[in-house]
Amino acid sequence: MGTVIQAEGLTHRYGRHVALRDVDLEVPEGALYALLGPNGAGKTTLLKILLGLLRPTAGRVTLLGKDLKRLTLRDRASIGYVAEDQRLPGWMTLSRLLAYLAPLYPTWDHGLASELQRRFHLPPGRKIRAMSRGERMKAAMMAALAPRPRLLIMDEPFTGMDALVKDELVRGLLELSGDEGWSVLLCSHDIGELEALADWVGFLDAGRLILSEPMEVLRGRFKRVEVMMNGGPFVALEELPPDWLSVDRAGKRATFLIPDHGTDSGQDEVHRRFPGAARVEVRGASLREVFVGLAREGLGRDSVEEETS
Amino acid sequence: MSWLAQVGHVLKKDVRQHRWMIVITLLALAGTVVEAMGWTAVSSPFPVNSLLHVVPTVPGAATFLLASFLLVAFVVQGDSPARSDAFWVPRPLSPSAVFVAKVVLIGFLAILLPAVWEVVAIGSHHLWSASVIGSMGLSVLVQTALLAAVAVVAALTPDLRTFLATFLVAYIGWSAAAPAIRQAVTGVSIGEAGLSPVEAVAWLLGGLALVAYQYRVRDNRHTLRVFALPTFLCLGLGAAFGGARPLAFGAGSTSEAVATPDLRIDSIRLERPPSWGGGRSWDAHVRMELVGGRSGYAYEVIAPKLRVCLPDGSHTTLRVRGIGQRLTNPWVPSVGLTWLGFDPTAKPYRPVVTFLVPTDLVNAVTDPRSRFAVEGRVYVQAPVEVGPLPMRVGATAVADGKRYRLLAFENDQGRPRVGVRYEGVESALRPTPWIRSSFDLTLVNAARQEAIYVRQSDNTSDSHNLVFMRERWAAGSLSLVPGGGGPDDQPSAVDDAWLDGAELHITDWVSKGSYRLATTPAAVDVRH
Repeated sequence: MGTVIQAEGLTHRYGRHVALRDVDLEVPEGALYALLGPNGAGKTTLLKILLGLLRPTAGRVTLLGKDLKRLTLRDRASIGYVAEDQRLPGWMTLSRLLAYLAPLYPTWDHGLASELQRRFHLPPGRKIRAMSRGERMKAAMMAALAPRPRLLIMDEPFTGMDALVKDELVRGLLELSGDEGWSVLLCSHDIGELEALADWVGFLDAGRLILSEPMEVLRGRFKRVEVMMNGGPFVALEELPPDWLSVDRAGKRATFLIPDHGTDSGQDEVHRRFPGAARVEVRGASLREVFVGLAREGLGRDSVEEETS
Repeated sequence: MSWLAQVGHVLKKDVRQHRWMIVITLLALAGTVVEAMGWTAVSSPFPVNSLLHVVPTVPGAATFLLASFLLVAFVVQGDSPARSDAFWVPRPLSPSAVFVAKVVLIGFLAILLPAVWEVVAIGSHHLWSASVIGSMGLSVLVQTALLAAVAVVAALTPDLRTFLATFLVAYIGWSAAAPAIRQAVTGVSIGEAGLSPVEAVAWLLGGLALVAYQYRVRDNRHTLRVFALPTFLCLGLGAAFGGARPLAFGAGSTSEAVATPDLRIDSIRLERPPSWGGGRSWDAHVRMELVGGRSGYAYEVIAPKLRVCLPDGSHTTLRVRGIGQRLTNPWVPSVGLTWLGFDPTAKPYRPVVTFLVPTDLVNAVTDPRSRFAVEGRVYVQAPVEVGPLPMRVGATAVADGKRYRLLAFENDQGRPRVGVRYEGVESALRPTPWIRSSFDLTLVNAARQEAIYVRQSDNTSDSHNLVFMRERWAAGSLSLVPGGGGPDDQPSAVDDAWLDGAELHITDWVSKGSYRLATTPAAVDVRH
């Protein structure tokens, strides 16, 4: 399997602020890649650079096997883009927007456009500026999906969408990705949806890509442990191993993520550290738990860095 | 979709998107055309024309230019190259196709269409000539260059509000800085801000290149870095030389074979100011003499300064108060003619320039050890002989883009009276921006080898804008009577037969430019 996106050493500065630091990213062909990260991590900057909307300060991008600067219009026509902050021509009606875009894409699927319009319940004659935020996102989504792109890049695509449409869209993306081999790179705060969608995950923190791996591998790397004490005292949580993430304590209950080494050594360590525990429950970690754990770890590291600096 | 099809596709979208701005621009153009054709100047009993008479009070060409500026801003920012989140950016659209679509739309509406109407308007006045074609070509070029400059601002700003603020700041800054730079480089402070042809071409090509580049890279900082030096050179050179009207030659050199005369100070007469005037400064009437000027050419002192080397070795420069007389050398076909009455060729050829002398300097200025020198520029004009117009009502002659028509003539008890109308195209971009209404006029009876100098006893003028802002149609009517205006200038009476056999000779001038001139400091007879 090849890669549809390959970024090497991407760095981007906004004045003195470094938004991206030496990011290497590979998105396999056919993957549904979820890019996670806290606010200000550099996700949108990274996506804009990948699309050529921003010039990186340093680094190189290859899209669909070609250097970004050498992409032809035909190549560009096979890349779809949806962004939360993307400006749509408010003076156009939906039908005019579609009529304007259709000739630009050789692979434009009028049937799919009609189908999406019906599913999204979008009035064709309404001007875009008169649409709600959610409707505008749906319109942008339609415009991106109707050309049946080989690569779809989406930045917070579910913003403003109701749960029903979101669910439908997720299912639709899964279908299209599976059936037609589309590759999708998306970032969203809606981790629940991403978990259902993504088969690859990348985590961006403070401009650095700190992990990028298949969802299954990521899930397998961490286990969620919940410890219920039986009245006895907790050990000082600060003394726990540094690779235990997202340590949280509420009353008699403490939860954290431990790395899964494929043996029972981790659980043995939990029992060893909490000998008086009334109950120890270990299960696979969800993407949300991993994200929160990693994000907290990042915040903790940042505060330590700030203190030391 | 091919590149050309993309241009058409974007163009079609732009027409629909900006239809209201296009309508406003076309309405502004229509108003300008109505004015340019002179329709508003026609008096009529119909009430509609009383409404139309209001139109000239609105400067149509300026309104159209402003509408064009806004059109450029709307069209360019409709697919903004300054925003990374613009709708067109992630689409499979060629940036050059988007750019060309904008150029085509703006070029058609703001350049081609008005140019066509300008041609129609000038044609309706029957004023075509090489000079009119030249000045109209320059007007088109300058208007295009201005729109390119506006497009640059639009391409570097993300929205209309920022565009308007940036444009205002740039315009005010440029208007303030350009005359100062020009004064520092050329020493010429006169003349209105304008663009020379070379400068206009530089602005146009540079502006288009910048906007095209910005469409490609969509990065203000990068674009500005690439274009910083050419822009600086273009603006700096433009400020230095662009607005210098008339054409400024180097010291001591003029174009063609224009003789460079010497300016000498003949005498200075100091005049005490009236007591009610405050008495802060005296008037120094400096009578000068121009020696070595080419026969028939007109010379004019521009922005003179009187430098005084005082007896104590210090220097002072006196401010000019007024120039009393243009340095003209009347050009009349006088060879072999007998002048009946006033002889213009005998007219003294001495300008008087009045300077302000502060009261505390009067004693030093009148000291015989003081030395005086005049600095300034001399504006040179060559004579153009028009006509002659035979004494026939309706007779016309055309020269240098101006048309002259004999309206009426009569012999009032031996004193001929003649009415003449002139009209032409004025262009602020020509070295001589405005049509001169002060001609030298002579009635010549070739058969009798006699001539009468006629002066203007009355004149009226009329003008209206043409489509481009820097061009106007101007006309005037002159009433001519014999003599030089003095009490002893009355000619002897002529009979009707003399007048019927006469022709009206008109002398007009065309600009040859200006050059720097300074007198050598010398002692001058200063009288009270």
